[in-house]
Formats: sequence, structure tokens, C-alpha cells
Amino acid sequence: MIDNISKDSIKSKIKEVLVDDLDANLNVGDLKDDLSLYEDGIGLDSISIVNLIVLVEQKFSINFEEEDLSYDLFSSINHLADVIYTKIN
Amino acid sequence: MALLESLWDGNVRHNGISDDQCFVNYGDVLKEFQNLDQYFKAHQLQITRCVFLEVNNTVDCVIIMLYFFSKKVNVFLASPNLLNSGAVPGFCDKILILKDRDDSSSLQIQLAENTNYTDKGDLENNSGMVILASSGSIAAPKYIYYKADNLFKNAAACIQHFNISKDSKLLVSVPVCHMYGLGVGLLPGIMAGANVSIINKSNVIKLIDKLRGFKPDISLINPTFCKMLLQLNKTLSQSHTYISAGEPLDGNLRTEFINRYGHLINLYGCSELGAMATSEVSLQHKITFSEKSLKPVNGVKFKIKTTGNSNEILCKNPYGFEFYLDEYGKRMTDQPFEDGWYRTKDAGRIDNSGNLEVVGRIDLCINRSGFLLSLEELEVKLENLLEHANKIVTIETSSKELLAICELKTDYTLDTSSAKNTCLRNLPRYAVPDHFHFTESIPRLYNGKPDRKQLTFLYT
Repeated sequence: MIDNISKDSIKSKIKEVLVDDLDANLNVGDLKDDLSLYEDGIGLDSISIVNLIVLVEQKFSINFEEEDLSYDLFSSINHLADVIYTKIN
Repeated sequence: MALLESLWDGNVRHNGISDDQCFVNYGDVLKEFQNLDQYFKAHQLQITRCVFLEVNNTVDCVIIMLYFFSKKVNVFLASPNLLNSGAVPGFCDKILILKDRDDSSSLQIQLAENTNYTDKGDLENNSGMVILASSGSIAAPKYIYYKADNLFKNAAACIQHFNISKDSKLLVSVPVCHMYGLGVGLLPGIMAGANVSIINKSNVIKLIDKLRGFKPDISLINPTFCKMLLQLNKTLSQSHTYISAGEPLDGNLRTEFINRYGHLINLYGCSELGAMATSEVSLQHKITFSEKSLKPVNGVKFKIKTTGNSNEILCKNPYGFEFYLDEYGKRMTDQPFEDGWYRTKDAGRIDNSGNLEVVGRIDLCINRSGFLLSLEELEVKLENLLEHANKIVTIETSSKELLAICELKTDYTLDTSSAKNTCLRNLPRYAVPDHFHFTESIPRLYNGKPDRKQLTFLYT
């Protein structure tokens, strides 16, 4: 369980996962907080999104429920960080 | 179109089609047809040969497509983004561009001339034809030429086979520009008067979103989505029937999928003939019916042609395609028929009950993301692209990944990164090898051809 983690730390950690753990050829410089994670933004395809969900659940020790897995979840790093923050706290 | 219109009676007018943005009931679809009639008349728009329509999974696209079917206009159903790539075939005289709706909420279209139009094809005097792109081939393009009436009859067989009715809720997460989404999902759903939901630019999150919101009783998905749902390891609140086409999910994966998400029907079909056979549709039979045993769709016949060690499946569907066209609209000389039977190039057997089992391919083709990819075609392409390679052999590994084994020219080198980047720039994504291996020499048979058996043994 991760305690007392700020939203900024969550965003940094999400970016770490995107750059280091996903085979998506991304650089930190590409990752704007308000950019969609889908193909109209950062460019993650379905396989990368699934891998991201699994990795985020592992790294933050959380579990996304069925109702969390909406299209909006990956509409931006900001939004994803908000959802993770709520789950942790 | 009487086939469709007769079904949109008073009982189903409130059912309809929805996409990510909107819902249109069948009653309003007919009104849209009248609006389009007026628009074409007012702007004196005329299609003499064939219209190019880029088909996204949107309600507006579906309305336009149905409108052309109803008017017996020849239409080429193109994959999204084909227009941008400049690959408009010469047999289309017009290009239809669909714009966003304005404040008046009516469909906004523009009809442009195709500057590549070449009037030397076999489309002349034919009307009511639907043309689809052949999937997978990276060689010269070939186009699949259907009579629209046969497409409807093909869809009617699917309505019967999958028990689709006006009470059904059908979710189509696969592209409706291809025969699977169109002939097994969209058209049967509409013709049965069911509620149909289509997902544009589908991904697994959109799929889960729609499963939760639309609550379908039948969903068309692809095997990749099946595997992703399993990888996510989530429980969905509603269990229902899924149809999956392409590489069948079998063994433990299929059992796991059924236990977690609902009944999974493996569909055996192709763009040329539509749905040919499926695993058991009824849930009651799932224990006794072998997952690999496929029951023919009504009207479809199979036979096996034995040549040496190969047992090729031949298929006859009275409502299949007519023939292949080339990009200029000329009937191609090479057609996949033998005495009226379609050559599937799949190997298989038929049991005493007339059910089919598919055991593999008789040629070097593999299924990649729903596309049938010829390894021989790919190797020729790769050898042209990677000029430092003398010979390239591609094989599918046991984990279903594509490996390119490259025999390098003397004193030349090549690395994975540059090889992959070259491929990404020049080939569709599904044709790009996942891995590369570079070697000084590829083992060969006595006749000089690469020893594929030994390579498969060595590298998988």
C-alpha cells in the first residue's frame, strides 16, 4: 500500500512507467499532462493500454474495477493521476 | 432494399443504430434516405460507375452505405484513411466525403471526382454491386466483388444461425468495412431490426465501456480483444455471447474466457464468402460439442480435396462473392475457384455429421491481427526493403510472433532497430516482423530452397 503520495509524484511515476516499462518508444518530453494517452495523443494502442493498466495496478498496489475502466480513464495523465490518487487515499 | 425496408416495420422503428456519439432509430434512417434523395437531386449529383466510400464505424457512414445499397449504386467500402494514402482504386469515378453535421443536423456530404478514374473495367452496366478490399495481401491489390442482394442473403443466413431478432442487442467492435463486421454483425443486426451498437476506432477500453453501457446479448470481437480481456483479469458484471473471427481461441484460453465473460463462438469465414461455419452457437451444447468442430452456416457446403499429404477445404456458398477485380475494375485472371468451389487454402477434415475441423493452412500464410499474411509475399517485400540481406525467411514462433531470419550479404551488416524502422515505414503494421535474426547462412534443402522445417526447429 502506498501512503501519502502527492498527485505530482503519481504523475511522475506514471511517466516513468510509460517511458521505461512500456514498449512504446516514448520520451518524457513527449508526455504532456493534459494529452490523451490514446492514438489521438500520446499514441498508445490497445495492447499498450492493457499493459499500462496491469503495470499501474502493480506499481500503485491498486485494482481498477469494471466501472473505472472507462474511455475517460486515459483521456490524460492528469485524469489517470486523479483516479489513482482517489484510490490510494 | 425491399429486404431491409420490409423489416423496418412498426415493431422495430424505435430500435436503431448507435455509435460513440448518437443513436438513430430505423424510422429516422428512412427519413435520412429521403433527405439524401433531395440532396442528390438538388445538387445534380450522379454516380455513373462506382463510389468510393471510406467506412468508419459511425452511424452517418452506415446511413450513407445503406442508402447506396438501396439505390443499387455500386459502392467500394474502403478502410478508414485509405483516401489520405492516395490509394483510391481506378474503378471508382466518384469519391464521397462525409463531413461533420452542421446545425441543421442533416447529413453533410460532398461528391468529388476521382482523378485516378480509369474507365476500362468490367463494372459497366452492372448495378447494385458492393466491393470490398481483400485483407492481408501486400502484393498487387485485389478487390472482392459482391452482388448486394447476395450480401443480404448472406446476412439472412447469419440471422438464422446466430438467432438474431428484433429483441437482440448486437455490439460490433470490429470494422464494418470488412465482411466480418458488415456481413456477420451490422447487416444481420439491421435486417433483424435489432438494436445495433458500433464502436469507432475500437480499443479494449471502449469495448469494456460499451459492454457496461449498452449491455449487448451478442458482441462481435476479435481474438486480440479476447486475449486482452483475459490479460486484464477483470470480472464484468454481465455475461453474454461473444463471436470471434480469425485465429480461434482454443483450449484453456477459450475455457477461461467462457468461465469469466460468457459463451464464445469461434467463427470460420472469409471476406469472399462471409460466415462459413462456427463452433456451437447454443450454450446447451457447449459441454458435448467439441470446440474445434464447426457447424456449417445454412446453405454453405464443404468438401475436402486431397492432393498428396494435403487435405484442402473447398467451400461453396450460394451467396458468396462473384470474382476478384483489379484496381482498374477488370476481372482478374487468377480466381480462387475450382469447379465452382472456393479454394480456402485451409487444411481440414469433415466428420460423419458434416461438421468441419480446420487444422491449418496448406500454404505459407499466417493470421496476424485478423489479416491473412502470406509469408512468401512478405519475404519478397522484405528482401526488396532490406538490401543488405541476401535471403530472408519468416516464421511464426510458438508464441505466435513473427520472426525474420536474414541471411546477410558478405561484408554487410544490419541491426534490428534499423530493419524494424525500415519495415514500419514501408509495410502495414501487421506485416512488420516482431523479431529479426541475422545470420551468415540460412540452412537450405538440396534444391536450394530454405529449409523451413529446420529453421522452425532452430528458432522456435
